[in-house]
Amino acid sequence: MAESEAVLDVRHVSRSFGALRAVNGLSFTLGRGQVCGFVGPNGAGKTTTMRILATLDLPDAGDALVEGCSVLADPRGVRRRVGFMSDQFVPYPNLDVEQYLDFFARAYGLRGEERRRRVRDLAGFCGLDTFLDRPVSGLSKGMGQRLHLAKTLLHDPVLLVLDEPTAGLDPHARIEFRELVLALAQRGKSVLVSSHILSELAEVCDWVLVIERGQQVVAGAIEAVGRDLQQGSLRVAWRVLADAEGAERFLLVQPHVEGVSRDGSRVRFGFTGDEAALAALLARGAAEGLALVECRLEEAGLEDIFLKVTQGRLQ
Amino acid sequence: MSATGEPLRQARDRERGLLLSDRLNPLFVRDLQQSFAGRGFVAALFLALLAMMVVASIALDFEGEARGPRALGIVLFALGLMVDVVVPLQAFQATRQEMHGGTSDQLLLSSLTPAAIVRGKLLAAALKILLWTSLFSPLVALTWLLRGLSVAQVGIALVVAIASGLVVSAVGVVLGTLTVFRRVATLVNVGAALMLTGGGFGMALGLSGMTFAWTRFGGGLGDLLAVLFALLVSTVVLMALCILVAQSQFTHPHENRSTGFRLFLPVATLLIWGLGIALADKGDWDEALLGSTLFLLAVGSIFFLFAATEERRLSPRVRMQVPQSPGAAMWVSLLLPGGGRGLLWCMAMVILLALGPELLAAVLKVKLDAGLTSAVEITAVYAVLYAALGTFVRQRLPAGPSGSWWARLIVIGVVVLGSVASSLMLAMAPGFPQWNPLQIVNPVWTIVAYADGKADSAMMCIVVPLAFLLLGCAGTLAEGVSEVTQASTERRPHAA
Repeated sequence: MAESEAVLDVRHVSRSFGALRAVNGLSFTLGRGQVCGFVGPNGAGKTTTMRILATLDLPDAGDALVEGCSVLADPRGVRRRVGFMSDQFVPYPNLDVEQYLDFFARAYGLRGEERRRRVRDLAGFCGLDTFLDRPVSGLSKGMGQRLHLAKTLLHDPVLLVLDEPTAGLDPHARIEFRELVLALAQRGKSVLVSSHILSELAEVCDWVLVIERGQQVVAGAIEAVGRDLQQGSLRVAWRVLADAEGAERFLLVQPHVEGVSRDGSRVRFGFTGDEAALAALLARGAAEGLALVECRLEEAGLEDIFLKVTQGRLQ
Repeated sequence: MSATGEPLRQARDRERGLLLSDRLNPLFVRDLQQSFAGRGFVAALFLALLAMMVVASIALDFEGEARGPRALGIVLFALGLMVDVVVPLQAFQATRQEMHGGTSDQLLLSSLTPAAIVRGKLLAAALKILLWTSLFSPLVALTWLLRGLSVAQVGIALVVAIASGLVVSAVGVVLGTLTVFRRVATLVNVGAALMLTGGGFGMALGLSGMTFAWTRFGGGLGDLLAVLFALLVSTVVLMALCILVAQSQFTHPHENRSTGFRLFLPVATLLIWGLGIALADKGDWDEALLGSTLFLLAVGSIFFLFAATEERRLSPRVRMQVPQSPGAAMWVSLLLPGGGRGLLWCMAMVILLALGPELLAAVLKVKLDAGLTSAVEITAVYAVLYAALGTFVRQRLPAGPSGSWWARLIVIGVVVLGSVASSLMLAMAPGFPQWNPLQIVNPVWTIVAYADGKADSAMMCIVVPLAFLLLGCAGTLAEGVSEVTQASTERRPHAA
């Protein structure tokens, strides 16, 4: 998957719980500084895979290497390199933000001035510097997630594994969190992030890995995957000045046209013909008297990729 | 001193303080920060000060020679409530919170080991115990001033109070870790709250009563040393067991939870035998040795059952702990989890427990009691029988923790149902029946009958099924060792 030096190398990882095969021969790599969206329906095996990468679970078969350290043979080496942000943040009572970060910094073996400096730097990076004396249990959900992320970064990991980091956040907090992830990628951190908000993942990820029933369905750069999925079928959007319903009726009976949908003055459809056939379609539309003011070819987004490869199935 | 000298010294002191702080266990620091920031601490402090005032006013009203001992009893009761109830409940609560919401996972991703996590919690409890003890120290000094007590007696009473607080706090930590089993979490929460409150209250009462009796008894230096040794050994053994259980709960199921327990039992055995010899008169050494061995076999059976029913294979992470030397790997195989290794360790332990008293008796020139010796022998065979049954069942169940738990439940079911069935037969039979071979399903009955010489054929009746079970487990036992030697070979540099 990754063209640059692989920070994460997942090799044929499988994990079963009784009869349920949660992860089934999953393989992928992730390069330095890359942000990979880890997408799949509920129960697809995302959290199990992430827990394996964080050494909290063990694969039945296969292995995963983080900078060459195996989750099977060298879990301590992996833990030094991975920052795992689980999907739940439970604050300790009777501790303030600084004490909370200081505790985890101690737990990661940071000492003396280095510990204090790291706590201050990360509090600043995550926008917590004015909250240092606030009780952890009194933080808002968004600030709690920032604190959770700051704690995950304390030991300066090369790979961040973020499991649903924006779940339950309001749009503003989600945008702020997205900015933090982008800033981390710019600092050279590799990020594997799962989320159900696909439009948001599309904003931060350059790679996507879609899994279903524990198996990889599609993987690669978002644009490349989108192009591959669009092969033989273009997504076309028309905007008409009036009578969008008439345009929809017109398209429904045209050759090479499929999946017509209407949204206000816009009509979207898939087109399986070539560019000459599309030009002919436009001419026929004009001859029919459609007040066509815009015709745009759309690229497949993460949402389209997800829906196309999984058909939105739940497991 | 110059004007700049003072700030320099302050900076140096601060630096020293920070260096010291760096060396502290992170859990210890955090637990203390949480405890002292909470409202519970202020409430407990208020109650303690109130109790001290009440106790002081009662103690000063006592009359007669026993004023000091009586006052000390009351002071220790009040102190016992703090160190045996309040501190253990705090330790339980702090550990319970740790087990929920994935915070224990977050700790395990750091540099902290399960042992360091448990150590931090116990250190925090220990500091709180010392804090409460020092808070009560003016009252303790008052009891000495009231006469009737020596400094040694007061000292021992305080050591007993601290030791009991440490042990109950360790139990609190263990109970807190057990709340990880979600299906029984509510039961554990209620049980732990009742056990720690009731047990701690009882401990405080016992502390008070025992101290009063001890001070009246007023033994010599030999007694003092024996009491201190007994206290030390029992505290160390109980604390070590609690630490092992708690840290095993913080350890991932695929990592090594077993070696600590497998080293603990032989070490505890030696300490308990030593304690028996130290405390008993020379004429009672045989009873002390055999009695403690019977106790160790009974308690050890729980260890044996857990060891014999572990996973069938070494997990990849444990494979990495196998020594590269083939000889060392062979010996270490007894201490590694899974396969038939648990049963092998169990057999080695039973041999130690069965032969140990004989060897010690020969060295100490003591004649062992025949009845008790018979009881030890048959109990040892029973221990192996149930462990072998556990291994036999485990290898027929699927891999995974649930397979291990099912095997344990089946063996416990066999023991309980066997005992209940034979007890029902006893209840329905007219008069007291003689022991018959069917009653081997009731181990207690059979052991007592065999020790009394009323069940001579019992040994044969147990050895025959044991031999069949061991034959059935022979492949597993051989695999248990060969898997370790194979892992050792793989780990050698040339294997790569």
